[in-house]
Amino acid sequence: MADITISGLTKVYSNGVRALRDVDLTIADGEFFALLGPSGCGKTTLLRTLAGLEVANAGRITIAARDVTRLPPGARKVAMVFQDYALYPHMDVADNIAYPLKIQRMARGARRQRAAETGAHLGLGGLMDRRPAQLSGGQQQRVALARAVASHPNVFLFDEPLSNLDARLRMEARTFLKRLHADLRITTVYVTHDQSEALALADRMAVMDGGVIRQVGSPVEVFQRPANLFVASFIGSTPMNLVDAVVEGGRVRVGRADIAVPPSATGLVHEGEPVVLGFRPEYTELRDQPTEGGFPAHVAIVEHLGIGFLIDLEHEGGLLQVVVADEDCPTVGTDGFVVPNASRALLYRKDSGELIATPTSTLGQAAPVAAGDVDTVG
Amino acid sequence: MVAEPAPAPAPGPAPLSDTRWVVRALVARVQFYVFIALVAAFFALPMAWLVLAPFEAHPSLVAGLTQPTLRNFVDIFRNPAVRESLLNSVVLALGTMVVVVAAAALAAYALSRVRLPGRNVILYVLLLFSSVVTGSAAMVPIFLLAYDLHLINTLTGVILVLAGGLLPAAIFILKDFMDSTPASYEESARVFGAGPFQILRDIVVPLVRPGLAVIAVWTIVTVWSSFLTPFILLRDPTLTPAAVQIYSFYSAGGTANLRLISTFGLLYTIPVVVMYLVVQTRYGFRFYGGLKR
Repeated sequence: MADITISGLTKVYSNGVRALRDVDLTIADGEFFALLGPSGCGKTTLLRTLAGLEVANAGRITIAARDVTRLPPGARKVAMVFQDYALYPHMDVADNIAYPLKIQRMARGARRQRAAETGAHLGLGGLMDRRPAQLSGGQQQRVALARAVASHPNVFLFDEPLSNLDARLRMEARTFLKRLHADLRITTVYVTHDQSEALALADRMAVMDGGVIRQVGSPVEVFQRPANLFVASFIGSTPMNLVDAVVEGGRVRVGRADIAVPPSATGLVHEGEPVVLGFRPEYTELRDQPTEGGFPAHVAIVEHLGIGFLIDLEHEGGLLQVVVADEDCPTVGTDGFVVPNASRALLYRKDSGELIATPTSTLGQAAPVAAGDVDTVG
Repeated sequence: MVAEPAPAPAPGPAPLSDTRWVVRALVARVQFYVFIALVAAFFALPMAWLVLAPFEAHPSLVAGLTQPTLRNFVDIFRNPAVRESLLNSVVLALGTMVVVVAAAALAAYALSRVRLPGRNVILYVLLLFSSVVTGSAAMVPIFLLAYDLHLINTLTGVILVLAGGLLPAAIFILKDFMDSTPASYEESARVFGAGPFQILRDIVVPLVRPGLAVIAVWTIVTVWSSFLTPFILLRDPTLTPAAVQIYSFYSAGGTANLRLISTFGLLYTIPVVVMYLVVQTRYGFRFYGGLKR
């Protein structure tokens, strides 16, 4: 068992930057947990504080029911993979992988043996005598992983381990990481600024901003029901459409058009309340005829996505984006009607930016999902 | 060089000026080579003397080999003062090197990693002091200090004074090397449980090895040639190093014993040349014009 409990964690750097503000988080044993957020949101600080490389100003961290808040990094039984891999250029691959074992005072023969086994397991079989400089980026990344695995930690900490790889390798390495985690079932905390990585890899994830966790949940929850406007605008390869609206006559009015109140918000809004309507470009249709619940708009820009097109439309409430299939691509300059899928649309409070929905169904903060339950997710 | 083709004539001038142009270029080239030859001779002649004189039965100030002999070497090795002085030089150079490299590595690592207010000011002030410590201006206080510490007439005293003079620059150079090793190397080792000395030994020292080699070689060469400090601090002739020993190869009347001086000079030069060649081939940096990594 190596679950992680973080409570009231606050970190203020000596230059006055508040990197973490009273962060509470629980990570279950064996879980693959992603920390996602824009640069400077505090995700790396949180990871480094978990590793012990930064000392928290307030709060508590327990790993496997042991308070490690004041323990030095080496005593926490964690392994960290750095963005630049931190492979030692003067050691060969086997010595690099075996370095944690050297610190644990294992004999040279035994530790090189174990390094060779771990390396072979990670597909580094013939490379044991090479120096890191003689390896490709993907191989270096695997050596860094193998070194972490060989130290038999309770927790893996990954600091953007894929960001130094090119796009193709990144996909491969991502699948590799996922398989490795399925194999070892070691609690993993994974920092990334790339939401596709978080969505693809994580059992659960936290979205951070300004040193605060804005939402915790499974990737599906976070993607489909962002808890607030920040997460809504941050998550998704094409950002969610967010338009000002008013509740009127039991419907959500946007300019001259209106749509039904989304099911998630039914009964939670009152007449005349200003709200923000959110709907994903992927969950939206574009029609060329006036339709019930369709917003009239003007096709401004057409972008090819590979599969399908991203259409930017000018609407009285601002710019709207819709993803359409190849055959439905409209011509620039024509008029169309944007029809959100009402069952997948979301309402946010205009003042607080919070999602209007029953809290238990969205905010995963309340109860961490057990590892077994999330296998099917992602 | 005569065969060298003349550059193509510039467009425009009449064909008659062509030959004049070639002659002028030729004269300029000859002048250039004569000048180079003179400069080379100016620097090479003392070298030639240094290499040839020890093998000459009766060396004079003229470089040449009229009566080749190895007797000078036999004689000089029979001289106990010569053997002792060379040994003393080795002890001084190696001793100072060990002190400087060890202390500079620790200090540079600390200065590179620990955030101190005004860290760079401290470094520059240290660097300034270093020229004071080994400079002749400080010799009287250093003598008095060494006297009070009972370090007069000991090799330890000389080693400490020389090391003190060399350390600031050594720290300065090494800190630069340490700064350029990524912090993630050490952080990764820390997460795996390595302590500061383990990190220094396993990761930092191997990574800054070229820097350590620079410091070591530079220290040895500097100490090998230092004259003033050992001359002042050492009274016992059995403790004098080679650089000071040369000074004693004069007859009572003040005439130089060229046989001894030339032979000893050659022996004295060899270690430095060898070290230069070793470092040059292993690390590829040069002593002149700064350091290359």
